[in-house]
Amino acid sequence: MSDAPQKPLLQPDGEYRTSMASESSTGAGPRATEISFAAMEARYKRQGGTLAEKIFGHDPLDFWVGPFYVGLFGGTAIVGIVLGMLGYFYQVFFLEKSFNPLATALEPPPISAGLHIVAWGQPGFAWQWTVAFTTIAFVSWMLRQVDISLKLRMGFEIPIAFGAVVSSWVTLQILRPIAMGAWGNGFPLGITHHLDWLSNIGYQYYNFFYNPFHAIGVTLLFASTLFLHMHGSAILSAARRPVNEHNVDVFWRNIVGYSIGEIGIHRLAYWAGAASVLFANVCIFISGPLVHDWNGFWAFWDRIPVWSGAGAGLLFVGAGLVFSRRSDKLNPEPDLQAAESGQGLEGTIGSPGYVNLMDRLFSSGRVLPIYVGVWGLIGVFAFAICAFIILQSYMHQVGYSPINFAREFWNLAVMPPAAKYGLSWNVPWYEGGDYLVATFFLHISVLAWFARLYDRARKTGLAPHLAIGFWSALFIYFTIYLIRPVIRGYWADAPGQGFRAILDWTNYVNLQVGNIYYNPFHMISIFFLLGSVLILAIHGATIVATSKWGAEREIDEMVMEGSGTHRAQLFWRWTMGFNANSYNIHLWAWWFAALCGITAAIGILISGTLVDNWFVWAQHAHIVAPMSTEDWSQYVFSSK
Amino acid sequence: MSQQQLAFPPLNDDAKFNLVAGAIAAITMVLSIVAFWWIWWIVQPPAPKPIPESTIYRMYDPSGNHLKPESLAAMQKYIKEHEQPQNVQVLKGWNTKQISNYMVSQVAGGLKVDCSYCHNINNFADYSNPNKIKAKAMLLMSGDLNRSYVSKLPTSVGGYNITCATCHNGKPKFETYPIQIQNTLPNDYRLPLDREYPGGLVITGVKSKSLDEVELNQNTMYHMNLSLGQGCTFCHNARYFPATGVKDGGRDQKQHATWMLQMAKHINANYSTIMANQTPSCWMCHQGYTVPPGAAKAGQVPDVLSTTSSAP
Repeated sequence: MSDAPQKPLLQPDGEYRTSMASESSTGAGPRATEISFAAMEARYKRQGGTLAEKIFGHDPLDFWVGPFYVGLFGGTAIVGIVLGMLGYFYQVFFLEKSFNPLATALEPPPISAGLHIVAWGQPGFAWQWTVAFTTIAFVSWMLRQVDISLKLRMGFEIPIAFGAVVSSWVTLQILRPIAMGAWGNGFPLGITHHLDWLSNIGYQYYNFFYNPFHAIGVTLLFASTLFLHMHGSAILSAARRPVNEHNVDVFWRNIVGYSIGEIGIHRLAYWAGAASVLFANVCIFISGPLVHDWNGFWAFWDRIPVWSGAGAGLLFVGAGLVFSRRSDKLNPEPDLQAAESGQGLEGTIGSPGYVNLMDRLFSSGRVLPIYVGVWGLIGVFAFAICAFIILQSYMHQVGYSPINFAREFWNLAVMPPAAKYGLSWNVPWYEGGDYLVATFFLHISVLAWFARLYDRARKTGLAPHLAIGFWSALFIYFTIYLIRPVIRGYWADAPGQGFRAILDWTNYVNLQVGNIYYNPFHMISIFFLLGSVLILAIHGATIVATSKWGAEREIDEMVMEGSGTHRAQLFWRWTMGFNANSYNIHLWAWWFAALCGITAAIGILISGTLVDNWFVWAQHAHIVAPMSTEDWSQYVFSSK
Repeated sequence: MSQQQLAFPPLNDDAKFNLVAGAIAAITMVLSIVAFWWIWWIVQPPAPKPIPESTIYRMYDPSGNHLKPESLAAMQKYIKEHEQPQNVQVLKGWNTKQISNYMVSQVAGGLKVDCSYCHNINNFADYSNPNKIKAKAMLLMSGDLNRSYVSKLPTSVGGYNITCATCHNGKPKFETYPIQIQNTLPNDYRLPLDREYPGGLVITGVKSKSLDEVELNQNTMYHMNLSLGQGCTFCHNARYFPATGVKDGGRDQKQHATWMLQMAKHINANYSTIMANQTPSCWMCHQGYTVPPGAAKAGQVPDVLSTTSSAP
């Protein structure tokens, strides 16, 4: 009886929890006794319990140097790092004699060398050497994180999240070359030169943007950045204010109808960050061993039997069965929802509900109500008009055939007016007039969303961090859709409204401006994008790994740190020599995500306006690696 | 007491949960992989038949029963009666036997048609069939293209020649843009042959070129990808697309493609009538291969039509 999971009940603070949890004073289960950070470190900074000791019975390097923990795997990591760096600088100083580490190029051995280990002095030696020791360094670093987790009795989420990144390196440099039969298919090393490989591999497979796993991976990278910013904003906007997590919950429910909760956001962070990397692994591994032509790949779509009438009918029946199944709805007690639901325009709609899956995933099953408000109505209606115009034009393009609409959905696009129309508003409806009107309403919609974020933060007692940070996204949105086309003098340079049109726009701009990878703002933006995913995954993993001590209750932990937070801080202090705290990790989060958008916007704003050709620019900046195309077999499919 | 007789220690609830969850996960994984490969197998197009080796062509099978026995008999009779050709206008310098060998292997064999498709089989020298007049223009065109364009390609590309099968591929009439190659392209896409090459498709670093121009460029490049079965890096160093030639940090193949584009423009401008007003495509010869499967090997086309011939 006592072990059986209890049905969550609506609690006085408006949250759904089991009654057992509600008995504790904080409302979220028992918390450890408060002790000081120094006492925590003194208690846990002692020998024993490492992997090496468990396996070999003894760990010769089980000690600290200052704040750093060493350990057996710290030792192997140092060997890997030092020897790997030697390989890189051997190329810079002795082989190229260029003394320019930015523009160096460590090429893998030629394809003709197959899977052999090349000897000293042969082409590709520096690459193989560096890859081997870098792999040792990465794996050692992961195992060192396991050791520190063991010492702090934490979960293993951090080494698992880091392991996802290590698996990318292993896929790219070891598994894919083996699957393709030659080390020559590996990823060249070099600070700018690896960009050349990206360009060439992307375009070798016709159009890499049409690789569905690439699309999912990139979507998860951007989603991770968004989650990071939302989480950072949520915590910072509650900092140093007389509010608690309930204010944050009401804010999110007002905005989107759901608040994921304190532990839920960290689980989502950990999963989204790791998943983005794992999808990236799939996307590159199947390019080459399985698929050559990502354009032609999509021919399978038209060959799926559902496009015949009977197949489509079956699909609709199946979808109907899925959506019409019985759902478990928990009826709330009506008088308690009054706290969150005003009436009329400045009120909420939807009655509180409970989704079991959400509760299982994120420990927060409560959904709805959602706030209406003037800005919400403007935003929803503007977006609905935009969506209606776009979908109507899609239907027009397929001759109002629903089957063709579904089949061509990813191809359909409402394109901006052709270049001959310049910046004119007087454009025939189906030649871009529809685009101008739909996009205008999209602008209204996103601006109304900003106003809604700002208004709700004020009304729920929070600071407007999320609303302010939303401008970093709006900056790049308006740069792409409005400012840059206006500067260049035609709407034709804006992206079309459609799935494929967005991918094509990205490709076309890259070609238009030479090679956008050499745009330094693009480089910085990618740094912040990947950095955001790293911070998201690692922060999520850290909090999930210490959640048994309540470290996810960050709004409280900012005021009074508990032992879970202390463990999280010790982990990073021992791993990399310094640590953040519950407050300033969210400053990192907020700024990394915001700078991703801001630097991207600057980069695209000056492309084709101030700088027309980034490759030529990079040549003037002396950051282009020398590159011969005489041995090109990596990039050409063997002739038939 | 009974526990001591168990071979394995009793499982606690966690272990049971993990075992059941693991089993469900394994079954689901196997089923989803099976389902994926089953759908993949359904949607795959049928594999192309392997093409046998041929002494004349790079990769084209001229055999087949397209020649009627009575036509062959009439041809043998004609060779016996006329050792030297009666009214030859293109294939000069050959006797009747040599001409008939060429006709059977490359003209009839390239289009997979009977002699009577063009000839009056009672008098092979007769020009009364309009198809024969068209075929003569075609022969002259192949000579013109070999001399003016194919001859520019370096011998490293293979030293092949255009002959009938290079474009016809066993069909007397063919579409230059069959619908299946318009995958990911607009159905009415055609090579932009109203422009000057090289230069007609340059879009990089030019302020006045909008994304509409880039789209036309990309559609043309997709057409070439599909036609040659190669990615963009076959002709480009993708880190900087405008580079031409190895010494410029690019690839020599880009120059070859430009010559072939000039050839397509030349065909469109001068041979539109005999092409039935169809725009030439890369696919019509390349068929997904870097060297067209119907290209003739070196020395296999008549001297008067080869890359080394002089203009008539």
